[in-house]
Amino acid sequence: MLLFLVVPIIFVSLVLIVFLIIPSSYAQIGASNADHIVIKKNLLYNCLVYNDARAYPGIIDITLFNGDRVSRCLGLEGDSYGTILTLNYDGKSSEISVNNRMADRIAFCSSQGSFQCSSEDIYVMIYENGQLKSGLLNVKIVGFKK
Amino acid sequence: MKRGQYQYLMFVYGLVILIIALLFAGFLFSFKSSTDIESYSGYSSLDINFLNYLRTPVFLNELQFSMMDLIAYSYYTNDFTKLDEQTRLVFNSLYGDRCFWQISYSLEDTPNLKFHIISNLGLLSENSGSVRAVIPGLKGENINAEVREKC
Repeated sequence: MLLFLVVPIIFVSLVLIVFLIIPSSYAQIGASNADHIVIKKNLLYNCLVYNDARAYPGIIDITLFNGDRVSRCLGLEGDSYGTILTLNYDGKSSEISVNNRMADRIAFCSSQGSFQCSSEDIYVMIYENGQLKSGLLNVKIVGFKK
Repeated sequence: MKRGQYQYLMFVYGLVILIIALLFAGFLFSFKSSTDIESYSGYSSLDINFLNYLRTPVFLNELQFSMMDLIAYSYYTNDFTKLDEQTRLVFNSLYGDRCFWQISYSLEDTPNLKFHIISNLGLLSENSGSVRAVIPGLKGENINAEVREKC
């Protein structure tokens, strides 16, 4: 009679180990769009941030809003990612593009191709001439699908 | 029972248990943990949007305050007209008609009792992206401000 209990216990234990414990130890994380989030966070927490004695995440120092500086800060080049930043505030609009090699391909985003694109409007504060002004920063990112 | 019959019985029994175990495994596999970062991308900058909303300069009686001050002042005077107007200005310019958004205010002691809610299209459910901040009130109370969005 004991043998009738041993067989199911062995099977159930094996099933638990193979199908439950082992897979849950490496839960699947789909990180296909994480790189776009990292680029945006890098812009808003580092590259464009106004700082005096400390940094103010989300506040853009208008003197830092130029293509060369942002390119150096993000370090994007070649076939990695391209970014187009459009800043609208105070009735003005200015645009910079980072890594033109990829940024020029943003037109292909509308078609179902090999590119992965994202576009987001972010409500930002702009520090200009000692004053805070509100504005919208549109961040377009294009990269290859993985 | 003869030895041959006993072995046959054990084989059939083992086979039945194996099938049950495989069915059980299939059932467990349907709950496999899977997290997709892409699903969070929709509100990845909500924290910055909300932070800057609270920083937004607001003019009240020709004096400049921040939106945070206006929230505390509105609660103190129980007049939310200016807060409604300024909040809609910010979030309508940000989201347009693309997203649902909602901002609710409550006291920290009673987080479930919202004393004021501003939204563009009705109330949003708990599963939408949200960010919360605590704002000091004018009489020493703490005010919870929470923004939700669904795009």
